[in-house]
Amino acid sequence: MGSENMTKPSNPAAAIAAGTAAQPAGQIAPEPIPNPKIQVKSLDFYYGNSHALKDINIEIPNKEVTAFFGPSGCGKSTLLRVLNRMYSLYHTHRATGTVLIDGQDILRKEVDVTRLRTRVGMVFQKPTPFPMSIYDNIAFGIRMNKILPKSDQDAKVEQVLQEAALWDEVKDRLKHSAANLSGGQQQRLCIARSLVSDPEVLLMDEPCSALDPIATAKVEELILELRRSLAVVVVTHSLQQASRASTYSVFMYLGRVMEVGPTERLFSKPKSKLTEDYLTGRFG
Amino acid sequence: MNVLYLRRRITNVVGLSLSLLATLFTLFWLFWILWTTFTEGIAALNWRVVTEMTPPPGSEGGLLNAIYGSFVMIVIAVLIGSPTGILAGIYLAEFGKKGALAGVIRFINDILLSAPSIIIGLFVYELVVRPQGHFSAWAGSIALAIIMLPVVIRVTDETLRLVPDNLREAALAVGAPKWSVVLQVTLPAAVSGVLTGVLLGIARISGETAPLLFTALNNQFWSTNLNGPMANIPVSIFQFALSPYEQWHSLAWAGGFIVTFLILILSIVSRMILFRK
Amino acid sequence: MPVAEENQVSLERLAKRRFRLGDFLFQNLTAVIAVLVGLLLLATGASMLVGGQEAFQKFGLGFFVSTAWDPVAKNFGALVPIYGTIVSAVLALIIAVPVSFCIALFLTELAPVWMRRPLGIIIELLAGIPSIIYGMWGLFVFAPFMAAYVQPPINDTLGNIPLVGAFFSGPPLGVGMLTAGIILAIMIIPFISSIMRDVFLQAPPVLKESAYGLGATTWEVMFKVVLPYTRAAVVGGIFLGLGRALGETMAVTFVIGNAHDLTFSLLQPANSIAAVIANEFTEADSPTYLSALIALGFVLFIITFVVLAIAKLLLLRLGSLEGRK
Repeated sequence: MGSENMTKPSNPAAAIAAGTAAQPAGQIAPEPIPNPKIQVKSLDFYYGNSHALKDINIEIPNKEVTAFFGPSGCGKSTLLRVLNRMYSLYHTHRATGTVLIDGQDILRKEVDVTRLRTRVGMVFQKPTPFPMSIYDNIAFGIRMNKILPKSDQDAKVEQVLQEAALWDEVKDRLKHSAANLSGGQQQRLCIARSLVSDPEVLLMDEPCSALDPIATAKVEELILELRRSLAVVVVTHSLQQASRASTYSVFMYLGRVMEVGPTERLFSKPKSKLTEDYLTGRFG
Repeated sequence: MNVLYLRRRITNVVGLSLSLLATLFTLFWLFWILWTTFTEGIAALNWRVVTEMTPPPGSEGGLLNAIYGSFVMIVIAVLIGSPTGILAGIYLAEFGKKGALAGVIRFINDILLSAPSIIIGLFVYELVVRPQGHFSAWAGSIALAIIMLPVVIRVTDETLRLVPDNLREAALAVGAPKWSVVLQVTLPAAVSGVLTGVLLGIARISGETAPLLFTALNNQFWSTNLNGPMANIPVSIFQFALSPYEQWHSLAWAGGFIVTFLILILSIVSRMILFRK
Repeated sequence: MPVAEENQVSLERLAKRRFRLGDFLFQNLTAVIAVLVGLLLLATGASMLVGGQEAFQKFGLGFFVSTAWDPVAKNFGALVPIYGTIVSAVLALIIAVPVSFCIALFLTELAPVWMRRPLGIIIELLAGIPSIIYGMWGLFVFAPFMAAYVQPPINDTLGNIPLVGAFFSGPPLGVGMLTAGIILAIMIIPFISSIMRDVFLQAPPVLKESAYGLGATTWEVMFKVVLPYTRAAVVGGIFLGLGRALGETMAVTFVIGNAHDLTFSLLQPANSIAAVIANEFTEADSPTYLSALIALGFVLFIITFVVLAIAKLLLLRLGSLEGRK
């Protein structure tokens, strides 16, 4: 079997059911924000023949935590995977429109995706430690970016592990296999690993869905901490998490963005009836 | 940063180009071998190959007795090897399942699957030929059956385990005994897989030379006596190819072509059966 | 009426018991056959130990270190064929492993999607070509090619270097250790690369994606992440290939040269266990000679058994690794 059929299906039936009306009921046009880090304009996305994202227009602020939330199959993970061109690994996946990061369109063919991905880091649902030591998991990324003397490399490893609030727990066993860490520690290791290239954006695809509540709290705390230095985009299926750990929110439904706004405002005074229904648990 | 980045990109391009080259390189050799076999083999094919006996040194002849001998021994091997293999596969999939005994037998079976065929030949020599005091077609058939066995067992075991459990449960629920469930429900559901196993087994033994060398040996003449040495294509190829005679060489190529062609057809057919499902 | 009822019940019981008897017989029949298959391996080893007994008794441990092979004086030693078996198989691995890795990489990551499956099938089909064809091709086509185009330049360059030169000297005969190693490599590449491809396909896509997400190139993803992740199974596949190369008979017999002298030159005729047995079995004119050949078979049995058992254990580890995740 080819690797292309191993990605998440996008619930094509729901996407098609949404129809193609120009301005579907309940959609609120987003307000422009000052100095956006990412601008998505008329983005459409297809898995083969199924139309997974429809005419997405949003702006993502810098140095904030932006949460994508909505019922499963709404396209939130798909949208996230466009932002670092992860979808390009699969030949049946196709995106049209523009996605500007610092004004530069990343969907153009000639964009160097390898370099793009060092600027836009990604953390996945399940922790994905590489089959090597804790130290080497971090050094893997460092060696791709810079050749450093051993002492500088050690310092960098310590720095990112500190940033990911993991250093104190692992400093005595850096040479041990990363597979022996707990799930929460593995996830923070993956976050630390994605920080070594000093990315400007960090994408997180339901980073806590495989973790217990205590580990989740630690990661959420870390997420809020990280926004001081970069733009964080988190996909979550949990409303509580969106409200706790984000500062800016994007509500998606059936492949469309329905409403966008600061988390506090969006959760307390949703403008769209659909958002309100979702927040109050009437569907989803 | 830029120099390092450039180096990484170059490594990547070089690595990926190497993988393309390695694939082409390997295909080149393999097709060269096939090409030689087909051109030499087809050039050597004529009616005499299938109508005349293997010739004495230096003269013309055919492979009729060898073709017959190979056919007979393969048929006997299939008659011994496939029921035995299917029954052992049924044990592994239906009764042994994930138990320790089944685990050990699967492990041993997988080793037998890759074990050198020459060793099986020596085993059958010790088991059959030495006590009997002479080479025989029976011994050759038994050696081929043993080589075929692990292929059939493995495929039977794997395909039976793919049959969904609720099919078994449904049949057991109407009161059918286990043995008839296996023979009348599970096995028919897996029949294409089992058939594939048998075909792959035949493909595997059709070209085997080493085990026949110590068991059936060879016979220059027509013989239907299963208790005596019997001609067969692989050993004939072996003897003819190592001889100094041109005529024998071309007969060896004709035999090589027949065997290779047969094996390719068998492998393709067995895959088609598998993919049709 | 009560009698009839009783009859009914006992009939049912009888039927049930017969069902159970059928199951009992069937289950045990299959179990006995399966156990017999398990014992087959043991019996194979034992039979060769018995057959080789005379040689083992006569020559003792010296059998393994003696280079003698004299049918007239009935003095036999296994060192030359053991050496040839191992060296030719290792040569084959040196060539086959990197090439197979590259092919597996091509088939899993690089080839256009429409091409992957047919190409994989072609390579699997080629793995089924019988070894006698490789042998015949080696003898008639490849050995003359080696003698004409490959060995002379090797002789002229590497052959003149001190120390290393000993491995590459001697007249260009075409047949010999190097030729055998190359043919073995061509034979086991389809085999090893098919296993590696299957193993690489089992690496979780999210692991690859997280490496790509860090900005790794395809080569880095495969070489530094997927390969370490699947290491045990990849080595297992290589060992399976090694097992095949060690016991391969026909492809080697035709081209290794069948010389009973211990020579370190890879260009000179040599011998392997399987080739000695195949060539000389029907000529063995004394019980000692025959016993020495079967004793060689026992040595081959032990070597391949160990290699294949290691291979199998390593391949099983990939399964358990997945179970843990």
